[in-house]
Amino acid sequence: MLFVKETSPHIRRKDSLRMMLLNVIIALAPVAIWAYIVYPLSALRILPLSVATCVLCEFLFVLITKKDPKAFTLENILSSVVTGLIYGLCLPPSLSWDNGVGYFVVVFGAAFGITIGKLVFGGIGSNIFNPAALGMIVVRIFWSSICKSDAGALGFIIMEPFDTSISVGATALSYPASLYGSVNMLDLFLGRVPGALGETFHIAILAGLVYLLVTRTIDWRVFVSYMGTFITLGLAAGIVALNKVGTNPLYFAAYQLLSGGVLFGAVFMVTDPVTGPIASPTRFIYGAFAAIMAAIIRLLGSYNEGVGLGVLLANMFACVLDNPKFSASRWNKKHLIVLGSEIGVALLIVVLTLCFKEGALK
Amino acid sequence: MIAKTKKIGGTDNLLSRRPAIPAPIPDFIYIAVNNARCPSADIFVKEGDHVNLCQVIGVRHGPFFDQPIHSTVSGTMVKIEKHYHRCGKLVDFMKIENDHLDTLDPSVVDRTPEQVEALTKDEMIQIIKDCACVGLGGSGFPTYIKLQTKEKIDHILINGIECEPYLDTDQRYMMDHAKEIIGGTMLLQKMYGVKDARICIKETHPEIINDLQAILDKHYKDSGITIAKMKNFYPQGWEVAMVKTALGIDMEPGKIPPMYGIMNVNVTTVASIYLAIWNNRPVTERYMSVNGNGINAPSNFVVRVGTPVINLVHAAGGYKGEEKKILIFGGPMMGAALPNEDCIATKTVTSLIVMNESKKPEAPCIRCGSCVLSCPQHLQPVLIMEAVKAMNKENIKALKPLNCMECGLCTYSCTSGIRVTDFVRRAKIIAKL
Repeated sequence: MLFVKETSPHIRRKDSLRMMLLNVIIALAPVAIWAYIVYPLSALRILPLSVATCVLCEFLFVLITKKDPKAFTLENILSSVVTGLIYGLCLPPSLSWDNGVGYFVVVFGAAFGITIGKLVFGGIGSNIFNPAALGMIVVRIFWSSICKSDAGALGFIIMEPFDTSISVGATALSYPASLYGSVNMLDLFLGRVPGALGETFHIAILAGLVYLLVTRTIDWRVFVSYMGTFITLGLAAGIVALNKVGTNPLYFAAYQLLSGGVLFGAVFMVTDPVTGPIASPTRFIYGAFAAIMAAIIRLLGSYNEGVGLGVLLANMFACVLDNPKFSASRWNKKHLIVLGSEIGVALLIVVLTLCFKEGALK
Repeated sequence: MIAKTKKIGGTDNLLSRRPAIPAPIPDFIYIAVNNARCPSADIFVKEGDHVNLCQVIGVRHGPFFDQPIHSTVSGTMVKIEKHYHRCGKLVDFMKIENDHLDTLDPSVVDRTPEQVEALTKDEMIQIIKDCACVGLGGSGFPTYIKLQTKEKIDHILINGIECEPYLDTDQRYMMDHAKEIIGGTMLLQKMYGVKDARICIKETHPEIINDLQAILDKHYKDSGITIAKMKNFYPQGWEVAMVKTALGIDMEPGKIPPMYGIMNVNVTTVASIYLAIWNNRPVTERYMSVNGNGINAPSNFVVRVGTPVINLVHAAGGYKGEEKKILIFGGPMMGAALPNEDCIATKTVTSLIVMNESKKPEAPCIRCGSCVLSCPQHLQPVLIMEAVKAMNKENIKALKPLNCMECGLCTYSCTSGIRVTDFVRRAKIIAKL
């Protein structure tokens, strides 16, 4: 009889990285299926292409670093499929396929995102940036004309009502009256508006959210703090800016929440554990930070999609939060001060800027 | 999965408090000369000498205490041999040939109730020292040192929680030896002049709670001993968690229960105190669970101290399956894996777990944070692991790895199957430098 000498403990919990990655794919499935039903041509081009690109890049990376094709495990495949799916679902369905531009855009973004965002740092678990968010942002910046042309697809721009001088995208929505007149909340919720491939189908995203929460694949703390902060800032902006033009702040906040990729980003991007901090209090701070960045960019900035950038900015912030001198598994004074002051400062920025901008406009 | 581990699942108790049957007493018994705490020893018997049951045959010298060695059978001293001790080291064992007569040493004399009543605290502690009572829950810490505390004791907690999976020893012991446990608790009450004593039992064992409660109600009505119901999570049996649940006191890391006026003793230890005071008898046999998915007939045994592992395996029907086996003394969460079968069950061994090897493939850490959520000491194991990998001494110290008591929950909870506890152990060594 042979004996194994190993250190304690000798039993393990029944879960695995594979299961976790598979759960994300399962949660993304309804969104992807809905995207296929609504935009069959685009979905069929974008999603397989981006997934294939990511898997190929991951395979080449494993081949180069480990010099052994057998080191390419199921985890590698699943992880790159997740990246490819999330990235693909963030792309606009109206990409132009003439002359192959669209194909190139999809492949370039996927390859750039997974390589620069993840593989150069060492692959699964070592990445600093969310690869899908990085790929999406790069594509949006490089091909801004293609990506913006689809009438506010990438989140209806809220700045336009106040500042028409900064005219980016979504030009149809220039004034509050037309903005709210043209968009029905139910349409927004059901995805009957133009938008990126996957981000407008809120029912599918919520189904994915429920699945992820039930299987404990994502940490509810990040999601709750993200949504909480985003709604708070949306309400504040609504109160400050829109009461003068006669709109309900609640309506404004709901509009903020349902337009663009907020929910998709909050469910599938911010909650990526690899690029976030490790402890519960810092996860609250992290989620709030990502939401603040997204809200500020959306409400005040000229760039029209804050969620992806907010995720990337928060990713950079995560290693600071993980500093052993700050990070702790229980709340302490430092955490409360940081969380309180970041939300406070964000409120101040949003409120003051909107006041002055509005004043300037009038 | 990003979740806190509360219960250890997947290991159904195969024993469910089966009666403890006496394991065959082997022809040769092995008594450890040294152990993890005591590096040196004097031996009082030579090869060929006759020894009695319970006879003092040597004394171990620890860093701040001495501990008599008792023979656990009567027979003839054969020689000194090397075998594996539960601490994983090869140490000297006295091999004693058993004559199966169990001739009792004349030093073992019962005390009358008057004599026991007349004993002072110091006399009792001396008796406990002479009988070599140690923490039988697995720690092996000399009981008399613990009892000698200068702090004022207000509460006595008797630990019958046994929160690790597969273990059944204390549960069965409480069913069979209520008299010894309650008697020992009363001795502790007398020793410290304390009325409040609580026997801590998990709420998931209503049979044991009801049994003990009935005995207390019937025979020990005014003893002041009560039963405290403990919650069903791991590590409830850890003294800090037990104190928290029983008394609501939060103990700071690095402090011990007597500093809060609490004396906590394991149920088996308290029964050994009873045996020492009333019968002047050291521990010669103990309850042991032989359990796990790698053994044919999981059983509870009454085992003579010094029985080799292989005898216990045979008594429990032998190994099940052809897979590689993991032999564990203690529970599967904190117990040490033995290098091979050539090990001896000493009196601090609570159980022998035989498990078939099951490999969880190791994947990269995805920073899910389950270890941080699960750590009962509120440490951040994943950050400790990163600091150890980076050899960042400053960060290692800032993360306070010395508070870790190696419950194993970080490795158990790891989604990626990483042995996080090993990194924390390394961090503890580095932090001490």
